[in-house]
Amino acid sequence: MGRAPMGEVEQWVLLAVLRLGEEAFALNVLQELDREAGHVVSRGSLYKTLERLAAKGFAAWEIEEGSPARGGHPRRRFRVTPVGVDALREGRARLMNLWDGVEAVLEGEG
Amino acid sequence: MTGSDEGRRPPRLAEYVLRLLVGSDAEGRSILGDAREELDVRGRTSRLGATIWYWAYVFKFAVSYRTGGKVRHPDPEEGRRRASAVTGLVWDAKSSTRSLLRRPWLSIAVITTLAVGIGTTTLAFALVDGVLLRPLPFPAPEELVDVSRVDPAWYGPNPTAAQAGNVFATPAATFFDWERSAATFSSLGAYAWRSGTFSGDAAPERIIGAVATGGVFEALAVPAALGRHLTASDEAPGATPVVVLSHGLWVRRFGSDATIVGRVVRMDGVATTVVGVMPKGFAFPDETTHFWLAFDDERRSDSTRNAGYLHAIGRLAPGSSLAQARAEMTAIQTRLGERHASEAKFISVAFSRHELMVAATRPGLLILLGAAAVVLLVGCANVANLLLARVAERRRELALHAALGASRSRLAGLLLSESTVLAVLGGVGGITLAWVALRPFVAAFPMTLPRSAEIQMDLRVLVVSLLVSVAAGLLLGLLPVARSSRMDLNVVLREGGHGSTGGRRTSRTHALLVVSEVALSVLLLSTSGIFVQSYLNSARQERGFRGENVLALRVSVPDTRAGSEEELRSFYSELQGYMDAIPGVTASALAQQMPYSGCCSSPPASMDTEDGVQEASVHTSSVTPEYFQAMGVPILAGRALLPSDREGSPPVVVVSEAMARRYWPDADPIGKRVRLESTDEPQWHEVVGIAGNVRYQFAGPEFVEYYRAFAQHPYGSQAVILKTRSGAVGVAAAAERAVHALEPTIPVTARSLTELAAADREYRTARIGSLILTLLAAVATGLAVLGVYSVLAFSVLQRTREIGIRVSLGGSRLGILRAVLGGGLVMTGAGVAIGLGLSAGLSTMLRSGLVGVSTVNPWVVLAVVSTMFATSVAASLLPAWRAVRVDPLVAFRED
Repeated sequence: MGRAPMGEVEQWVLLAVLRLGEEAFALNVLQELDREAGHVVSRGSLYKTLERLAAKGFAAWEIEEGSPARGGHPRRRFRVTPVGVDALREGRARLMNLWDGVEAVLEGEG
Repeated sequence: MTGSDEGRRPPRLAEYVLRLLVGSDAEGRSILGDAREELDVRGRTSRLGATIWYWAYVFKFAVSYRTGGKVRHPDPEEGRRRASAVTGLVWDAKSSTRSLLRRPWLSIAVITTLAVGIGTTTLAFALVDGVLLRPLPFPAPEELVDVSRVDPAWYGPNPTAAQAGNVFATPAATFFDWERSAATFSSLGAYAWRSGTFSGDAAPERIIGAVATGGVFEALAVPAALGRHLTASDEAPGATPVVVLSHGLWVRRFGSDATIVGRVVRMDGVATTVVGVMPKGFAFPDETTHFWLAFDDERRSDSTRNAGYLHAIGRLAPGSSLAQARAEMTAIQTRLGERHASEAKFISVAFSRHELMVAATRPGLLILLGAAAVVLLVGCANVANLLLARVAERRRELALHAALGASRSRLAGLLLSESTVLAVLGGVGGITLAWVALRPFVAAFPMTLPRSAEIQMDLRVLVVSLLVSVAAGLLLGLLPVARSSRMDLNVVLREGGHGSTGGRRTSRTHALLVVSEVALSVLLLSTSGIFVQSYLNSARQERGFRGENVLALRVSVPDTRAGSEEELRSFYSELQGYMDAIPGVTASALAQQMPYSGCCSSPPASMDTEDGVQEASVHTSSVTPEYFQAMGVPILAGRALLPSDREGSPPVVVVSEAMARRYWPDADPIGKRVRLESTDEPQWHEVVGIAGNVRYQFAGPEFVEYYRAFAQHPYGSQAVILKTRSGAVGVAAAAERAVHALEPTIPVTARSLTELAAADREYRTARIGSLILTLLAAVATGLAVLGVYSVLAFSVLQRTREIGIRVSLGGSRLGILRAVLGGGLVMTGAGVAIGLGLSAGLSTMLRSGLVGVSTVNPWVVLAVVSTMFATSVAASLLPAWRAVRVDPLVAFRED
């Protein structure tokens, strides 16, 4: 496998960034994860995850100038790189393979 | 000030920590920005909540950012270790809670002791922090410098900041010379206290404020909240009278009227335009100041350099230091002395504004902090003893844990977690105590605590007191840990939990702790003894007047009502006529100065002595002839002032005995002369009588002063003194009505002199201060005595078997009694000796400012020593009684 492996949290974060599009700022990513997936991620691990994703080439960011409400500090707009999108696609395909054939069991239990 | 467009500022320290964690590159700063943005949103609902959130954020971040940073390779071993460490901690906490609950009384005793210690320390720290440590609430406060002109005859050539802060004696002419020449200051202003009567807009009210030049506001560099502050143009001759209001006065009297700027109010009868309102929290010279009038003194000329009433404040120019400013001011004053003879004897002194404000309070606050720390230390020593005793009792339990596989570090963890739980609970209790007590405590010292509005329990104070609690917990935990690690647990198990408890070494540790407790308590007891004695000495001093059944009202006639001396004379004689007619009044008098109701003023005067004419600032008061009788001030020689000493008749004065002694020690002062220099045409007055000395201040000296005849020197502001028949009612109300019948705009409150004396600031400070110290000393002593008791009781318990053997071998019970009591007395004696040595050293430092107290006061020493011994003998009796009653049979069977 040429690509680095991707962890579960990394996958969630990447999906949230993808869904947010132009609005993918750190605080929005946190809210998105909480709202859409019910995952409360601590801010510290979110930043580290994003930095790790960037190191693996899955994500990137642009630095933007900060507003006065941020005390003039800049902010980062995150995006998913094409490599990242590929990795997500691949991950989904692998998961789908695994899901195949277990639907009946799960339905039965429900 | 946090404008909403600028965003809320996070706590500086917390943001600094976060910056350390994330770095200050663009990525790191973007994280800081996210945190700020979130803080801003949260701050809209609760400011305090947002601050707490930010700190919690930083702590959580420190953990998650670090651990989230690594790509983890699965390591099953590490996982197990972590799991066991976590469950271990949880187990520790649960187990320690259980074990604390098993002995609720011991736990309560420990927690209460710690709460009292931590609470007093927190309270004292909040005061020290708010008054001494925090920078003043002005921009770049370290650049603010106070300058005053001082006569070396008052305080010597090097006055302290506390002394300089009391001196308002710079003449306007001198100040404006300073202002022109001083280059080390970017701005320099002058100010003085001024009270004024607001009327017209609502009921007349006398309010304390200040008069200030524009330079004052320029130096302070705080913009007005509404309108503008005072500027130099307001001082120009013929300028419209203007006033700036404090935020508090604006809210209280003017109902936060946003359109106040431009409104005309009447101040002392003069139409005065409000030009601005200062922001909330702006306090200058202190928080009792509620308005600032433009400087309006027309006497800027050279004629009045003898005496003044101003104080100066400036802001250092960029690049100048306080030392440079001092050198420059000294040089300027020297040059002034060469040009004007009357400037020659004065020196100029400069201190940082902060130093000047807090210098007088610093010793008191540090003593309080020291006393609180002593209570905490004694409490900790006590708790350490209790915990040590518990370890000894629990040897068997600990040995069992060890036998079941707990490592020594696990046992240590268990003991540490117990003491930490105790310390944290004690800390929470202490912080709550301090929180509840802070406001009443500050309110108990009205006017004596500078910056009292800035004193608060905030995050800084909380963090410090939490640190103190945690440190106490660790310290307390380490002793038992050290003890348990020395035990041979196998031996313990074999011996069934009895026998050796660590031997001599252990009892030495216990004894040392108790000795230090006793020593610290003795230190505190004798210090508080010195303060109580000083207070009693002041309270017992002959005041020189009889204040019973005396009412006083301060009346200030506005210039518009009585501008000339003639009008003043007729106003007051009419008023006295009304007063004398009030049923129950036996005498009425006027006095410019009087104890507890407006005092003191010492303008320059010349005395015609045997060694030629001497110049000095001497306290003086303009009084009517009835003053001496109404106040019960005796005339010792010559005559009192008489109704015949009126305008046009030869000017006369009555001098106090202290003044007679100082200026005419070997001659009869009657017939000698005194000249008041601060009037337009100084005139020699003949001394016609000597009056008894009066103490105007609670802890102050007998005044060197002279009385002038009111008829010859009428002043607009007078204390009206009414001597009443005992039991007379309604006099106060009738007197207030009498004033209003003459002039409805004068605010008056009649109060009895005893009432005024009880509210006196120095009196209250001395009284409450010594009360608090005594209370702390009592707490410390109580704890120390408890320590003596618990150590003896424990040692008797531990030695039951040994005592049993002694008794069965024919040892005398008297001997056992003697051994136990003797043990208590030896510990107490050693502690008392060390404590007395310490307090002898300390009281030398405290000596200044304590009235009539010698360093080592035999009575205080005797009282302290006997208290300590009596209580510790009492504490030893119960354990001794138990020891004597040990039944050898029972003692052996217990094995």
